[in-house]
Amino acid sequence: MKRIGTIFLIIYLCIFITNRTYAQNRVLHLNIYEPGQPKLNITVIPPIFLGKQTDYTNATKEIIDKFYTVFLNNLSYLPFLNVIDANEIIGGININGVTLNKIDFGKFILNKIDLLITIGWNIVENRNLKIEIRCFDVYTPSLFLGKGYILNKDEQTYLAANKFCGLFMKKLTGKSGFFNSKIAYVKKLEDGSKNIFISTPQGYFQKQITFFKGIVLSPAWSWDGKKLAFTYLSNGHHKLLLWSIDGTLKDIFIPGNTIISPSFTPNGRICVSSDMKGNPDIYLLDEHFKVEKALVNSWAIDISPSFDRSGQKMVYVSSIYGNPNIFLYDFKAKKTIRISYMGKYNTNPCISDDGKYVVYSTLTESGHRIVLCDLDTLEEKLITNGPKNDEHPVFGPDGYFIAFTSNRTGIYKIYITTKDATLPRVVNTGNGEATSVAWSKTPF
Amino acid sequence: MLKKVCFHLIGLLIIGFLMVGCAKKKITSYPQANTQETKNTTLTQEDLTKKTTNNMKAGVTQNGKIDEYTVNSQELNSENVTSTSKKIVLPENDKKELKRMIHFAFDSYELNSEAKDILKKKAEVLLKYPSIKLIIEGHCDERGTEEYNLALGERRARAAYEYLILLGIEADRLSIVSYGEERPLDPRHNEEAWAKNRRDEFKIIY
Repeated sequence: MKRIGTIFLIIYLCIFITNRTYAQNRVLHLNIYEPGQPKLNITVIPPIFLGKQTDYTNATKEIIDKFYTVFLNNLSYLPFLNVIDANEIIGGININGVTLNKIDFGKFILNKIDLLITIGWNIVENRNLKIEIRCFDVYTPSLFLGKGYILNKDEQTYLAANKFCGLFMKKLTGKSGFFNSKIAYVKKLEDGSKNIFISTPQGYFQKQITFFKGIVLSPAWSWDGKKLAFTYLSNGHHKLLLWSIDGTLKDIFIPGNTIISPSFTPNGRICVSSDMKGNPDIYLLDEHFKVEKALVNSWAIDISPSFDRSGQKMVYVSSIYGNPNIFLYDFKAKKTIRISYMGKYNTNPCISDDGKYVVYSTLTESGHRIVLCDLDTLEEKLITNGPKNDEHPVFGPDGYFIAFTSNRTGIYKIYITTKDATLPRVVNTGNGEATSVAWSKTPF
Repeated sequence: MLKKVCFHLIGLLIIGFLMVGCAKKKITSYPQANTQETKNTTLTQEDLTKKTTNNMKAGVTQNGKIDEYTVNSQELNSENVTSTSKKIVLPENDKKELKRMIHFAFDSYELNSEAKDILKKKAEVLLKYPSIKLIIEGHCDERGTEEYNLALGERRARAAYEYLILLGIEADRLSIVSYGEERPLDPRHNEEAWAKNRRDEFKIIY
């Protein structure tokens, strides 16, 4: 009888010690590039005021409420998280404070929460707002990430939320970029002109940066995120223009009537398609924006170059086999291979920074769809399903998120998905058609 | 005795259940704990703020550069494509002939027999009026993608340009431009509209 009790006691101790060691030693890390990753359950406790109740006004409370909304919205873009509403926590979310020692993690373990976020706030000098965000690993329990922010104006709620979420994603997955990069896109205005706007991938800080009466096409970011090259079409002429972050605009003269799909190489050169020799071919410009050499030169249409970060790989569109298809050129091996075999009309390729994947659009019977091609296996798979047309995919700086344009609701808008075909989310670009999305490579 | 054994077995089951609950998350576990994590737990609110405020201020300011994206780009001075020379009065029939559009099949820039006949008649008019010039505009339907349509529009315009040169028109009297899918004649989204939009338009320069 006693022996049985002793045996069970030893087993209990072994299990508890092993379990505790596991919990203490574990490091939260998700490999978002591998298939079948499970979701982590996360809950965010509504902001807790750390000062005296009389210290703040309704206006301040509105800012903190807005921060909470923006923060939750940011987390909802991460498909590897399952954001649990704090009100759904069984037993309530009552905590004694925002720090580790003031939280009873037991009930969160019972609710199967992996990560718990607390937001503490207070009023500091000059009526500024101090926000402290702590993310706890519930099972350890330990602080996973903690940051503080001083906000002095309303718009900084977005900046602080982006900053924390960027660090959070980096720590959890090893990659960042979504929350600290910019997208550029072309928007059709009421006067019929098309101009470039920039914003964050969630649609925050939308700003018009060109003010032409004609049509702007195909913006492309430089790798340092400080320049945008694009085609301008007006009064019977194509021009290649270069916008810089200081607001200057440079008109680059390229021989030929048709200037299509500029792109930057990782070392800052511009690559563009021009018909200077009778066909749209792909040319590399030198540092003085003069044509240095042809990179792709054939009797057919050659457009849309895209480079990986090493500069060793370039993907592009060529109709050399009759229909537009995607080709990969390896500068080191000096070898070209065709990589698109799905359908007969494949365009708009974009290679990931690490050179492992290519996304492009393919024309199916139901419209254009986005294809992801693994360059190791050349396996192609559809990652969008319409309806109508999904076009012009581009990788985000992390090589995980993908932006594309779609008219699935009747009007072209920008959508965000991932290489794992996450349900696309529309980017808030305001009224009017939004197309030709470009995603900055280097985080700002 | 039996009751106690049962009690212990239930206890074991509960622990097992809890462990399975933890393990299902397939989170990569490393042999050594990250010491940084442990240190972080000791941070007080004050420490946290002190340590991070400066960084955050920098970060916020850095991100704030979005406000500095002020742009003074102005509408470029468009080149004037119309000549200042004396305007020739073309008979209405000839004008109509010069402006007559030609059409193409989907994803094609091949001139069909009808297009060739139209171009032959244009050449006759152009030969009659040597000072007249033409801008050939290539257009596409909406079904292709933007960049490829810009290239296809160029090929369509160039197809007409090269055929007119073969018919004896000097190259310096002709110029081409592609509008891709940007200027549809018919905004509808059906086969009839697409067929109308796959075209070359011709603009007369006097």
